[in-house]
Amino acid sequence: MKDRLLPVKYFILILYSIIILVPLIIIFFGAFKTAGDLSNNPFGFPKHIALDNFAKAFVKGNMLIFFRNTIFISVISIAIITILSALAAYAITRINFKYGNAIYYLFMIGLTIPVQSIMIPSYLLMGKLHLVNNIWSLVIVYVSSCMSFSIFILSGFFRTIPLEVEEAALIDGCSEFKTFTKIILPLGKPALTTIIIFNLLTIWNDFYNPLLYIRDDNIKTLSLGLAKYMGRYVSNYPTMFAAVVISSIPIIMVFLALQKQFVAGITAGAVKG
Amino acid sequence: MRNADRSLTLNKSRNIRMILFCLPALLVYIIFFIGPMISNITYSFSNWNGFSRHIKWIGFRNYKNLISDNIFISSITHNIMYTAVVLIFQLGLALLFALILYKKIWGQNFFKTVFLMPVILSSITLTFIWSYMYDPMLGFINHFFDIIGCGFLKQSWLGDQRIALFSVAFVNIWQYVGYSMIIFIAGLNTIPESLFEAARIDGAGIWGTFRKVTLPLLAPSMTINIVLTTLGSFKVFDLIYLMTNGGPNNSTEVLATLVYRTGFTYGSMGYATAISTVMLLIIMIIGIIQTTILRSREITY
Repeated sequence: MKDRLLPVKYFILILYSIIILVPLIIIFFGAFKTAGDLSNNPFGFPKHIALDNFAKAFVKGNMLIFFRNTIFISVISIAIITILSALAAYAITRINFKYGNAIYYLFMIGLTIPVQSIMIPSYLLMGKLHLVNNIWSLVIVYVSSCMSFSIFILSGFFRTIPLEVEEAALIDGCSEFKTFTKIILPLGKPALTTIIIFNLLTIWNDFYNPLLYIRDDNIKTLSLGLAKYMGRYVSNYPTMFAAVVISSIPIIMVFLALQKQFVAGITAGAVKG
Repeated sequence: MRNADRSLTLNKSRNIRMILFCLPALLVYIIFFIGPMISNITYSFSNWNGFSRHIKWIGFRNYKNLISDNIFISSITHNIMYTAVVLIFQLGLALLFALILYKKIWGQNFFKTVFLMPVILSSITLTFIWSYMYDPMLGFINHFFDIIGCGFLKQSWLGDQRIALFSVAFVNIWQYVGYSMIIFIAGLNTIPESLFEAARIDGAGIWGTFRKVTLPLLAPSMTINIVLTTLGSFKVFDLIYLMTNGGPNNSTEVLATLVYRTGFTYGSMGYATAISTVMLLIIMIIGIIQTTILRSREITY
């Protein structure tokens, strides 16, 4: 019975793979083509490999600066988020009075709130702090908005760590902080990896907040920086493609390297939801 | 919490230290997230323009104006259409692929990787890819229809107000089918193989097994997928803002882009906060209703 359906199954899988892959392949090859070559021969190898699209994207498009900014913001934000949310998630799962739950649910509110419901007051607040058009406004926004998801995932995981393990350490005279860094963090590695991957993806790809807070070219992130190509090179697709390829390669590498953890993260987030 | 009765946690000074652990996260979150959310609701009762020092409180007037605001009403309609299309096709396809891929099949990992790949792309990358694909003159899709001799199918995909919203919805579906599929696969893997065998022995066909065994037992992952997809697509901003910017002729305007335009382009901060408060309410209500209805239908074996 199964065998009879097998060809149908493969037909479906291959058809959808084509729908996913064709645009990606066109963009990848297109980045090496001239505009003329692309319109005559959209699908298929470039006639001769033109690297000047990449040169244009790097030199005229300030890609290096956008890269530097995006990496800087991602690394700083993720470091802060990971430390703060791990501390909080640990405390929430170990706290013993009625407010422990209240703190947890307060954090969970953030999971459903659309950014539009906080952006105007948040923009004004950044204005008061003189952080509009400043990279640190993004760091603050990311730290506060990624907190809910991170605590949600981490506290779900920390609850599964048996108390007996830390009890022994505490009885041996370890301080809570030391127990946290020496026992909880190493045991929590899978969950920490999950939140780091997801937060990296969110921050690296974010377009909305840079659009809101950043004006100057020299502090733009990749997403916002690329958006200006839209107007400038509207008919010069190969240059746009080169920029897309450059900006996506790091994130695709991370995905291919950590795909297992990524899938585990989707599942963990979903099961506990 | 469920650890409450354990001896270790019955210790007051330890509790205080635990609260100190929470404090940094809590402070950042309250000051920069919860605070703005509350003042957002407060501003929605004012006619503030974002610049003047004087704020005039006007009660529910913003909300009254919303009811007769055609663009607001059509934006909500677009949100609903967009969400409905994404829900049906994204989850339909995801379920189909999950049913094929959850058991060992040759090439399983390859297909999973490919289907999941678009999830990691940024909205600006998607916009570049699909503005090209949809381009009426140079784009691949119309070019493709020409090659296969179906020139009559050619469209101005993002320029025709009857189809622009669906063209954007397609990109959303294209991106997230793999994500929903992974959740379905996780759900399918929790169903014991013995139940399928029992159904087979009882003489249930493929369709019967699917309806009577698979679908009911898949209810938890269905709930999660429906809630996540609805909330995600109701909040859509990036794709619309970048691909059509609400046009042509407001035919793709949704609440999120309307809030941005009203607040930051027209400077009506008070009115914009009212729209975003409505958006918040809708999202909360949908979330609560879906969770309660769907959860009550879930069964365990």
